[in-house]
Amino acid sequence: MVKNILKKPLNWIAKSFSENPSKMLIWTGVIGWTTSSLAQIGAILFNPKLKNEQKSFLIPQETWDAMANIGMFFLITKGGQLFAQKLFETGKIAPKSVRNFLERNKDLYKDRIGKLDFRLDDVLKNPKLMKDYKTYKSIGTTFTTVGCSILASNIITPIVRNNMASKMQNNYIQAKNIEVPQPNFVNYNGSMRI
Amino acid sequence: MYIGGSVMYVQNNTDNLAFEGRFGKFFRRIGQKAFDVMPEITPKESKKGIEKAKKYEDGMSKPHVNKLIIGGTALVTQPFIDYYNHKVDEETRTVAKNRTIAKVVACTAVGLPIRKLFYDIVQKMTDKNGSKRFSKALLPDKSVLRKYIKNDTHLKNYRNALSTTLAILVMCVTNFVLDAPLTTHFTNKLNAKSAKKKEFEQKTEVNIYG
Repeated sequence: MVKNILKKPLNWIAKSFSENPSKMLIWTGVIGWTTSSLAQIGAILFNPKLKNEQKSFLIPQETWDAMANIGMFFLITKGGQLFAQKLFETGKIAPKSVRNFLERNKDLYKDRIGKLDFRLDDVLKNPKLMKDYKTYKSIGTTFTTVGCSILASNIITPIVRNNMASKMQNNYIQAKNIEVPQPNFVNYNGSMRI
Repeated sequence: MYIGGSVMYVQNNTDNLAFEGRFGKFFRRIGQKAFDVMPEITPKESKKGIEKAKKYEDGMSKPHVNKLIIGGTALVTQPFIDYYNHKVDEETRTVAKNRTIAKVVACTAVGLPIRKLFYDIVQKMTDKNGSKRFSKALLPDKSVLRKYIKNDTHLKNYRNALSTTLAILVMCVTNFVLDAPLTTHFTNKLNAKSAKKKEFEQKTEVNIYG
């Protein structure tokens, strides 16, 4: 009985994602980021040590963090991953053994290298060449994806979320007519430190 | 993929990468133009270098190692970006920077062991050739296994999908009961420290205008 209950979701995961796992990315990403943001927004709202003006920045910052993360994931991380995969698949980047094979058969492949409909996966029949190609493709794709994910979530997302949250905080301050100190340059406030 | 600070790498089959419709054709044209201007690259072959890169790649593909990489870089870049956001006043900037540090530390401290736990459980309980009692407990039915998990890539995808799903389900709870309270606790501690530092600085400041 318990085994059957467990097997149903396991079968569903195997059927749905073992061949094409990218389908699950949307749902797990959205669920993960949304629940994380909801929890963080709750924490900001119920933190008595934060002022309302600060909350008016931190809440939109957290909301935009989730939205920008999801958007940047598909735009930059996934985009970078596909770009890197295609570079290897179309032979734009190829290990020496594969490059030699393409050179030897340039009558067949010279004009096809770099074309998006060309796939080395369909061309390489020699197991040694296939192994070399897959090794380089896998390493290249993983390194690119890590780099893109760092760029997307740790550099572009914070810039986007801060810009959007700053605008929303300004609107709040203007609506409530609150006086806050004007933003100024760090360490420059007309005084000298000793 | 990225889930609240973690990326899962999937061996994608791009056969079905469709460039259909008006937008698809537009992106295909742009992509093709970018590829046309790029030179052909042949990386230097070095057995030692490839082995090293493969080792790093294996590590980076694990969800918990990935969380550590993303969390570590987040700790370097995000507080800096928050603190130099000159569109808000200094007090808000400091609070935002402190909250970001607190959030990254709390989420990494909670998310890392959860990801590692489920990764290890799924690895141990999805062994096709295993003979121990629970070594096949998280594998699907034999008929599904034969039809959908035909090679190591499919098995790797299945394991990643399963461990990610389990981790996400648990993190739906831990986000509220662990991450958020810990973030609040660390934020308040850091804010108190910043306030003390500012107070000390103000005391030791001499205004040049007297």
